[in-house]
Amino acid sequence: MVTPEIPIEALRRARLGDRAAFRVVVEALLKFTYNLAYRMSHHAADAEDLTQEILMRLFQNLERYDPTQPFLPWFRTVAANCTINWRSRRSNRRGTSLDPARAPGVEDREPDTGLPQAIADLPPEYQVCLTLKYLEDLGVQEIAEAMKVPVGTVKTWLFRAREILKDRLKPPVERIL
Amino acid sequence: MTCDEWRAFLQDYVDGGLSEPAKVMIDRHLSECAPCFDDARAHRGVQNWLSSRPELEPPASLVDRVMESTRRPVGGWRRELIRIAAAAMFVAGLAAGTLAFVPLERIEKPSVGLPKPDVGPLLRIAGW
Repeated sequence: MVTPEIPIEALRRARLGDRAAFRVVVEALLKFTYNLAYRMSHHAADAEDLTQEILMRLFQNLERYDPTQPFLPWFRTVAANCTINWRSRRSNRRGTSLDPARAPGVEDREPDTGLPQAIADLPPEYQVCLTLKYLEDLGVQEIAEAMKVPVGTVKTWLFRAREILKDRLKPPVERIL
Repeated sequence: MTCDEWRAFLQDYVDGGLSEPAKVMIDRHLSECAPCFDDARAHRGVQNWLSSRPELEPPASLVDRVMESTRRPVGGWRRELIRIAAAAMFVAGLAAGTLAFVPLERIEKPSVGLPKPDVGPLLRIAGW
């Protein structure tokens, strides 16, 4: 689990436009955001791009954050929306979620279980659900709050996502077991 | 328990979020139903794989990259230039529109013609 510790004072100053304070916030969120991004892209360079995009979106929207509320759930929503948009744009551009030119033989690809590709082929909402659940070990209630959807929807997405993965990856999964 | 009932509890079962009596009931069904047992095993396999992903360390240079990107205008310089050009065109259009609707009478004209200069002496000097 990589749930970050948020420096409250830096966050307060960053909201007022203090760039040095925003840098402290970025440093605190970087690992969490990068891991989220990596699980959405399964490629280091793409994960860096998506991390940058999420944190830039945070910078642009920070003044909308209500400091009387916990920061992390709000940030998860920003990150989830940004990630879904990023994935949709990529899918529209390429027709597939992973760049086919990058898929075989790149040095930073994960071991060949086929799962990264199968996850990358899931609808972006399913992917964000899975990532929040297994990266942060969030419950369905917290995921629903982050994604601004009903709990039942999250349960359905998680169920369908795993159904798709298990059906597509029966041999590798059975090897894991 | 039927297979459909089991599937309604699958999510909580795989997540370990069921009460002990419910879990016992499902375990009993799984021990008697091979398809549901396979289903549960596959779901748990996917879950185990997803949970076991290692945490990755982002490159340290990424902080600088993020900070640099926050210096750029939203949408990039090109969009910013387009925005400025659009604003300039709007202002110019507004000014042109305003002038077009100003009644001609309000544009001050000299009430009398300007006095014609007396160029006679000059012409005489020039030999005309």
